[in-house]
Amino acid sequence: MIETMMMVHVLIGVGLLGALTHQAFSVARRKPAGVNFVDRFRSVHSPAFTNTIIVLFVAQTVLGALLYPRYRLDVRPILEDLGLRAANGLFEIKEHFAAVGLGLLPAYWFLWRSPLLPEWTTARRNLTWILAFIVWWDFLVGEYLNNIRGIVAS
Amino acid sequence: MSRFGQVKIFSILFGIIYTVLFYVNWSPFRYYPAMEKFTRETLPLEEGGPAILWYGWVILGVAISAVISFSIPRKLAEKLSTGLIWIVPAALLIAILIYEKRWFF
Repeated sequence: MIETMMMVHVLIGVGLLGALTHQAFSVARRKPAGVNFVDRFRSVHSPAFTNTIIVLFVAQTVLGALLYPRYRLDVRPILEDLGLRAANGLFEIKEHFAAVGLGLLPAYWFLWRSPLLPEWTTARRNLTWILAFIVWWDFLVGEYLNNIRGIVAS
Repeated sequence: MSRFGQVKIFSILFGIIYTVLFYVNWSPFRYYPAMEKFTRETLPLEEGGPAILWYGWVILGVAISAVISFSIPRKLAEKLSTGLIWIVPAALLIAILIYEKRWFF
């Protein structure tokens, strides 16, 4: 059961990462879309991602919360035994960032509601980038911790 | 945008309240995974094993932020600068990174 939840957690993380990165790049665009890969990557209809991002973020946080006891009992003691204090610190930051991100979702949803108000452009762009930063941090730290035994052994 | 002002306050307040709660390391309840038990008591490590406070921080943060933000009149809430929606969380993320650097040095 835990293994399945872990797999789903990773898959949702990948989806969230893709959707938020697309949206973040699309709001960073300052020139008309061109034909190279980056321009095409940016030229998505960004509001269409909003509800999906919110659902994935909430699902990801709930799954993370359900997996947390297993981490606290099985993984953290190993990190402590191995003297990997920094790895524990990375996880602490991950859990705080996830909580802060969760609280931002209602405002994020409002900012991305149609029609997109031009006076909210800066707030919309910056909040999207903050959420993207949180998701990237949490994903990378999660993957690092998942693979830490192999990483430390090498 | 009828409730946008109140939602703005909720999102800003939640991050602040959550950060204060974890900074003072206080939670209305704790979860002891070794015992599979939620309790308001603080159990010794030998008895209860490690405790998780995160659930309490999130739930109390949501509750306090919701009560405060929806108690504020809409017109007053609308006056709050929209810029604070990203400035406050960005500051909180930086504050968290600074506080948690204790794990790395």
